[in-house]
Parts: sequence; structure tokens; C-alpha cells
Amino acid sequence: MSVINKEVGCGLFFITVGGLFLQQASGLEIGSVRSMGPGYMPGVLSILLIVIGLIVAGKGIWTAREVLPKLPLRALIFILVPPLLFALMIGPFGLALSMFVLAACAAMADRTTRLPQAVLIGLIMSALCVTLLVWALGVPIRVIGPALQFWGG
Amino acid sequence: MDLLNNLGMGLGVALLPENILFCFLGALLGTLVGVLPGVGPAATIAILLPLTYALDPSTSIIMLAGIYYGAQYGGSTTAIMINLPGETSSIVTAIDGYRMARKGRAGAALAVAAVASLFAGTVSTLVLAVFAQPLSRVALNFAAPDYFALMVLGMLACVALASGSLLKSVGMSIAGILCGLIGTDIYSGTSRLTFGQFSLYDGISIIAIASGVFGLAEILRNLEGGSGSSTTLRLTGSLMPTREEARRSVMPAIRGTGIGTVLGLLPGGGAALASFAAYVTEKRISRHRAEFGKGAVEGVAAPEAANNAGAQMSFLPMLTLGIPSNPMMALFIAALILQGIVPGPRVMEAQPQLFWGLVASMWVGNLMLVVLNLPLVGLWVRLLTISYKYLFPAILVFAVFGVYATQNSTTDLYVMVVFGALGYLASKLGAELAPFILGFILGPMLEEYLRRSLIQSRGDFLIFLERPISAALLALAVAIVIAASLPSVARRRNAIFAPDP
Repeated sequence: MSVINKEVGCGLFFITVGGLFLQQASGLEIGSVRSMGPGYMPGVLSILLIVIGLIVAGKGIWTAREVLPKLPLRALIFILVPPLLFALMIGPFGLALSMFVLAACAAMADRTTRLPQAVLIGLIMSALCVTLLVWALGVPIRVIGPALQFWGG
Repeated sequence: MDLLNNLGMGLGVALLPENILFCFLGALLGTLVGVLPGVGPAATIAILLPLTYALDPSTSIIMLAGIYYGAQYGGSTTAIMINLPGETSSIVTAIDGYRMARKGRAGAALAVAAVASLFAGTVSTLVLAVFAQPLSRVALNFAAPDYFALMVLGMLACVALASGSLLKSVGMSIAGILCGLIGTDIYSGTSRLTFGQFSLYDGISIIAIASGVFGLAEILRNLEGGSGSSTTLRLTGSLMPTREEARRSVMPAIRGTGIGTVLGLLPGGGAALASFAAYVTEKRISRHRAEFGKGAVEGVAAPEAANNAGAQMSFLPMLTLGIPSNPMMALFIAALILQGIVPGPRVMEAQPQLFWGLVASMWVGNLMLVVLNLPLVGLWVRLLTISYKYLFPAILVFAVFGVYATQNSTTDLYVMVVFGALGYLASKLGAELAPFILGFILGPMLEEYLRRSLIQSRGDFLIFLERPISAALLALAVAIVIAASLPSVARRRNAIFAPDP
């Protein structure tokens, strides 16, 4: 069995997060207890988080039995990447196309969904957003972006 | 008679046609989304929150409250129908509720849950109205050290009541505070912890974080289960409980209400604790003890009354002290701040319509839920049969749209994705997400009050022990943590989940 079990993983997670924040806080003025600088709390807390991470991981090495969970790669990619695509596309292409891409890609996260189904889900979600949220509720978001207007009319 | 006047004014606000409409819409949408498998109340509120921006403050908060009850009610429905509790406070409902449903008494279980909730809601709304004024008057005397102590108490109570490892929950709440500190330091004006991102100078949007941590992470957790294997039950049997069932639910509902009202006051997720306590109490004193875990109607009435009373009471610290006691209240605070209202003891004086309107609308909303839900139970049950593969793209679309539309900011979308991934990872590693969100909301205030107190005392930490209020609150916090880490308590907490006595 691997040394890296669930508890150790959690400890490492805390240590990483604490380390990142400690690195961010490193340039900040610490000040004193009497008048704390902007770096005081972040510094103290990130060190505390690292210490907690060490304890969790240390306890885990000796006592824990649960193995590190497997990550569902397909779901992770198809759920986390589409919002990023949306963020990149919304400016130039507008809501209609970005929403279609978001919903259609996301639908593929489920293994049983076929491509035509995903396209249909994308079309329906995109149409719903445009009609319901933009036209009916009046949320001010451009439906067709400038990049499409160039040759769309 | 001040109280009656205020309640009258509140009812006047809550019964404005516009407010009734939005309360109804909120309750309907909340139930609709909350009943969908795999969407808990916090995710529901986070996703629907942007819908309330355009409304005026009272109406938006009334609608949000409607969403809150609706989502909770939806959670109980899924607990009873498919043994899938929407949140911790309906876990115990699932034990006996689901078994009642399997015996063909699903309709009766839902009806008992609804009526018990309404009763509890009515009582706790009154209690809330009575205590709000004195409490906020006390709170007006709070100085910086007292607020600091109060927040420490709130945070530690949340940590202690979260299920799972105490140490991990502490870690998560610290991570939450750190994320809350991202942005510009109010004392020195320096930007900090921004990871070089100019767009983070104003801090991280709570909507983006909540949608990531509750929305995205929840979708990811649900998808790993493979094809939805939950067997949905057909709604059989009449909605009306038999006379025997009704008689047996009365006292448990009353006791549950009492337990919920008292425990709900605790900062730190009172509703969940209340429902556990109510269930255990009934299991111990009931004459039908042997039926518990096999579909005892008491096991539905008591925890449902208790969690509704507890949920209602958690508004009290939020409205009078500005302290959220669970992630849902944290989102309420975010919503109020977006409307330009800082929650705290002054809200009642400065915004009496908002305050009393909300209190009155709680009752209106609870009534509406019963009226709305009992006839529509069939529809909700049918919603449960929708395959998750069609649902999650829609949930993702609304989460993305809501986050983006809030500020037309793509940064918020990146934040949502990052926290969705981290939240999922943390929950896979056995760490709780509720302490994280509380830490995120309380973090900046915690730091501010700590710094202010220490400036006042010139760096002397004894200031927290010299003031009676802060000393008492800190003592309570320590007591809660010690109690939670006692092995006997931990064992008892686990024992509650065991279905057989």
C-alpha cells in the first residue's frame, strides 16, 4: 500500500495551500501585535495551516487506512474546462454561441451521452438563456458578439 | 405592544402584492431546484442569488428567504422519496421517512413533514420576533473584543458541529479566512495575497466561490457515482396521514420545535444539530421505540420540526449580530451587502421595513410552502425521475450565467472553476466545505476586530478576558470544542446514524 493515503493527501493539500499563501504574504509588512500590518494575520494563519497539514499528514502515515481516492478524469475535464471556454468566448462571440459550447461540452461529461444528444442539449440551453434571461428578464449581455457580427450582418 | 405594531408593519410589507409574488416565486424556484437530485440548499441559493439583484432590498431578501425554505423543503422531499438528504439537517429524516415511503406511506410522510415544519416555523418566527429587539439592543453595546470573541465562537461552533475530523475542519476554516483576506488591506491600503492578479484587488466574489464550492464540486461528486442508480419510489397511498399517524406526530412535532428553537440559536449550523437531537430524544422517550428506523412517523415529525425551527432561528444571529451560522446565512449576508445593507444590530433601527418584513414573510413563506407543496408533490416526485445527465448541464449553465452576469467579469468565472476544483478535491480528501465558507465570510471581520481590539489595548491580549461579554463568549467557544473532541460525544454522534437501536 502506498504511503500517500487519504489523510496524508489532505495534509499535503493543507500544506500546499498554506505554503502558497505564506509565499504571497512574504513581502507584506508584518507590524507588531500592537499595530498589525497587512502581513500579520496571513502570515500567522498560513503557518498555522501548514502545521495542521503536518499533523494531519503525520497522523495519516501511521493510522489511516483509506487509500487516496481516484479522480474521475473525464468529469473533471468536461466540467471544469467548458466554463473557461465560456470565459474566453463570451467577449468576442457573445452569449448564444458561448452558451452552446458550454452546455454541449459539459453534457459530454456523462459517459452515456452521445454527441447528437450533447448538441441538442447545447442548442436548448443556449436558446433558453437567450430568450428567458436576456430577452425576458433583460440581463444586459450581448447575444451575438462583435466577432460574429463582422460577417453575420 | 411594540412587538405587535412591528409585526403588523412587517405583515404589511410581506403582504404587499409584489412581495407575495416574489416570496411565492422564491419558494417555487427554491423547491424546484432543491428537489432536483444532487442540488443542496447552499448550491440552490448560490445559483439563484443573482436573480434577486434587480429587486429592491426588502423584496430581494424576501425572495431569497423563499428560496431558502423552498430549497430546504426540497431537501426533505428527496430525503423521504429517494433516501438522498439534501443537507445534513435532513439526514435523520431520511432514516424513517424513506422507510415510510417504502411501506407506501410516502404521501403521509411528506404531509407530516410539511405540517410539522409549518408549525415549527410559526412558533420560531414568533420567538425570533420577541428576542430580536433585546438581542440587538445588547449587541449595540458590543465593542471590538466582543465581536471578535463572538466570531471565534461562531467559527469554532461550526467546526465542532461539522461532521468529520475536527482538525480538518479547523484547517478548512483557516483556508477560508485566508481566501477572505485576499484583496486590499483596509488599514494600509496595500493589496495582498492577490497572486499577481490585478482583478483580485477588490477581493474574491462570494457568489463565484459559493457557485464553485457548492455548484461545481457537487456536480463532480454526483457524476462519479456513475449512472444514477437511485430507485425512485412511486407515490402511493393517500396524502392524508391516518388518524393514528397524526396523533402520534403531535407531541414529537412540539418537542422538536422546542429543541430546534433553542439549539438553532447556537452559532454554527443549529438546524443539523437540532434535527439529530430531536430524533434521539424521540427515540429515547417514545412508546413506539421499536419502530424507529423502520418507518416511525415520530422520526419524521420531530426532526423536520426541529430543523425548520433551527433554520428559522439561525436568522437571529445573522440579522441582529451580523454573524452567519451556516453557509446559507453567509450567502444572505453577501446578498444584503450587495444591496448596500451591512447586517448587524443597526439593521433593525435603520431598516425596520426590511427587518420586520422579512420576519413576517418567514411565516407567509412557510404557509405558502405547505399550500404549494402538498398539491404539487406529484410533480416534485416526477422531477426526481429526470436523469441526472440532462440536469447537470443545466445546473452548470445557470451557475456560469449567474456568476458572469453578476459583474460581467470573466475573473469570477476563473475563480469559480479554481474553487470548484479545490472544493471537490478537499471533499474527496474528507474535509468539510461549510467551515471554509464561514471562514471566508468571517475572515475579514475577524481580522478587523482583532486588530482594532489590540490597538485599543496596546497589544495586550488580556483585553479579551477582561471584558465580561468577550470572556464569556470565548469560554463558551472553548467548552464547545472540548465537548466535541471528547470521545464519548463523538461516539454518540456516530451512533445516531445507526438505523437499528
